Amino acid sequence: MAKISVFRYDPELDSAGYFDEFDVPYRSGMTVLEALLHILEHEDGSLGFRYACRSAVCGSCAMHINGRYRLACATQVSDLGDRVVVRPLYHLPVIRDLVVDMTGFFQKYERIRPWLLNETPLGDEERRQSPEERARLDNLVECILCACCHASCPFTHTDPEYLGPALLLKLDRFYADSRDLATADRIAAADDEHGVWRCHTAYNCVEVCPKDLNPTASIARLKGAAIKRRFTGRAE
Amino acid sequence: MTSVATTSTGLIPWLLQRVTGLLLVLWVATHFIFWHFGKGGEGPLNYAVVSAQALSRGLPGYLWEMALAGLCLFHGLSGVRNIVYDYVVDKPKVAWLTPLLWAVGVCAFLLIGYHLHLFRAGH
Repeated sequence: MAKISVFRYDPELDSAGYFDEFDVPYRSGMTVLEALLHILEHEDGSLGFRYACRSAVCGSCAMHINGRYRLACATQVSDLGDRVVVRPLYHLPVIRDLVVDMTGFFQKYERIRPWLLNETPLGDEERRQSPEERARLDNLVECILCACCHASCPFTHTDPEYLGPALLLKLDRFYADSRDLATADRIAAADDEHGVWRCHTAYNCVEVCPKDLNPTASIARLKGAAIKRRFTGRAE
Repeated sequence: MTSVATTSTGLIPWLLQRVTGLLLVLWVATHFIFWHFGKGGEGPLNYAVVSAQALSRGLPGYLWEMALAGLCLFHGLSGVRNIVYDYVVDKPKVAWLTPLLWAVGVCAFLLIGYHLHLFRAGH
């Protein structure tokens, strides 16, 4: 049996959150998501949590598990010791149990315009990149917007307007893209007190990213670009 | 993309915090070299030795130490401002903070300058 302690909160019934304990029959290779699904199917059908792909691609099942932000589908129960404690992501309002409200996160995401900005007419061919240009996007395109970094960052808590590490990494992804022609706009979006300057390089985002990405490096790159733009007028 | 970048950016305070931090490393090193390990540094290091070394630097030494005081004050008070702004995001609520910190910094700087001057004049 695996002991699973799960955060519970129903805003219509509870004035505060609490933990429910469950004993889940363990089998080799069981993930935390599978344990939660067992609870949902056999113990308590009211347990709320998000999941979709079960293969660490969609980012839906990001949670705080045994003191660390992880994807439930990519975390094996056997790696967590005798007791598994599951909480929702921090710094995001809890809707119910392990489900957090991502509205603010995705509103800010939309504001950075996470698509290619290029108004030159597209001919018969797609916009091509050299292997070197494509290599600049390596890793940056791997972000699955799970919000683990957002939840771990100390300043997403104190400043709700702060873009946060995930969105700044996304901004860097389009800033670095040779097909994107809105370089100055990208830097302007980052050059804001709720943008890169709010980051104090705590490295929490780097530590927790389930995809081993480095948002802090992206933020540093955008800081350098903003300084260059301010003092030379060049956005590149 | 102006919907995101609508306020003063925070670039200059961030940059000055880093620049003063780097300069502090240089200034503190020279402070120790000039005052503690410079000429006349033989024998046990005590108040008489340190004060003698400090006075031997003359006016340039005085100005150098005042620059160190200025760097320390700017770096430290800018750090206080950063901490407050990290937790009070609504800047108009703390509009008094930056003028207050400047006032504290200037007063402390003048006080340090005055006492260093008294120290030099007393010898």
